[in-house]
Amino acid sequence: MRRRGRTELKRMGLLALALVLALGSLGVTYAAWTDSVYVVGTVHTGNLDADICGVSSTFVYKVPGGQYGDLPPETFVDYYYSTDDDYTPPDLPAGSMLVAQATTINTSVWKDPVTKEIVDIDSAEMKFEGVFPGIDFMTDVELEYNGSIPAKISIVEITSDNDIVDELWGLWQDGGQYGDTTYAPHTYGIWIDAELSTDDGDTWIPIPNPDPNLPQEILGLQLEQEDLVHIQMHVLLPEEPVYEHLSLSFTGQITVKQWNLYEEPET
Amino acid sequence: MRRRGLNKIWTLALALLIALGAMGVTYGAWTDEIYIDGSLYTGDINASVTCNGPCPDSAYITCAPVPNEPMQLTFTLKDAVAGETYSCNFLINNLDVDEEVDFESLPIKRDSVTLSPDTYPGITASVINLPADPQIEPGHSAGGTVEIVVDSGITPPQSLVYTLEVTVKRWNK
Repeated sequence: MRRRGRTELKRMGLLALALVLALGSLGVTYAAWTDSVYVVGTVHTGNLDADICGVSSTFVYKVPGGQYGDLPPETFVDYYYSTDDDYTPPDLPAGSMLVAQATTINTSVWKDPVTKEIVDIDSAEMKFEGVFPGIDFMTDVELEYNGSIPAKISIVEITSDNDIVDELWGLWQDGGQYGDTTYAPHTYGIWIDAELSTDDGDTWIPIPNPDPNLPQEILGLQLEQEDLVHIQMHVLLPEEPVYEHLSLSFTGQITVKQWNLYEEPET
Repeated sequence: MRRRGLNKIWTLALALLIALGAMGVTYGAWTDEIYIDGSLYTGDINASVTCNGPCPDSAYITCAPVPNEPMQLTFTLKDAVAGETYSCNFLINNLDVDEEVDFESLPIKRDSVTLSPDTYPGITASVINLPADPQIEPGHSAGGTVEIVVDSGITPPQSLVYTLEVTVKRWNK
């Protein structure tokens, strides 16, 4: 059996050799009987990208002898929108002076200034200065949604280690009692609301926010590419001495999430 | 069997993690964040009333602050002479305590200026020379004068004390 096997192998070897010689005599190699098609492929994944493209600020002036709408006497409020943090003051009578303001500066960084690497950090600095009772001090960030896949706003929050912030959130939501004075809900305090534009800023749709501690209507708001959204922070103080001469800091975060991974917050 | 199953799952999870890592992608990348740093400073009314230097007739009339009452002053008249008029100047201040802080103090408006008691027989005390414009900008002061007129023909008390009290409010209130 063993010797027979060897003979068979020899035969197969001869056949293979004959085949090689035959093909060789034809001037053809096996490789010539193949062809290749090379495919160069790229995969582009979608992205989520909300960028700050503008800010709004509030500037409050004392105008001697002035009366503007329902505002207190000698008080003028300039709500100003800017894409480059510049501000052009209004043309007011002589003797007018700026007495308080709420401003936002876009501090986003697109490229690392040293390494030149793209970092795309979206950030802003909000400052409320000289705030006093009776005026709605509003400042906002205008976000442009540049992502390729739809996103939903999943987090909008303001946090502070100062209890006054929580107190003012609560005042807006629930109202409050200060001595003999009762404030109804949604009259004074701190709150956030928003407005959306899907037509490049021509029209703005207010996004109602019935509950400032949990802005349900803002949370879950879907953004398509090129949509614009204003996330506005308001401070409207009641006429209470406890809020005089305060100095506190806070941080905020706005997060957008892939639209189909958004989960409704628990109430 | 159970341990084998777990091992497979962990191996798969590890492989997925490595694969995502190799792609430079993490699950967190499918969100985008905007961070905000904020500060809130509320305005203040830092008003006070102070003596504007020694009184011109300081031998007879003096001005002094009232401890813990920044909006009050006392004016003491001693050894007044009948038929004479005595005066002393004061300032209403809108202090700008920290010049480094913008918008710290709000503009204020003089609300009331009272001098008490207002009646000593034969002696009239009043506040004069107050500016027509009651407003005082942050960092500025407005002057006024306490004037005491002693009628002739009376014998004034050896010592009289008047208290000046000023109230202010926010300019637009």
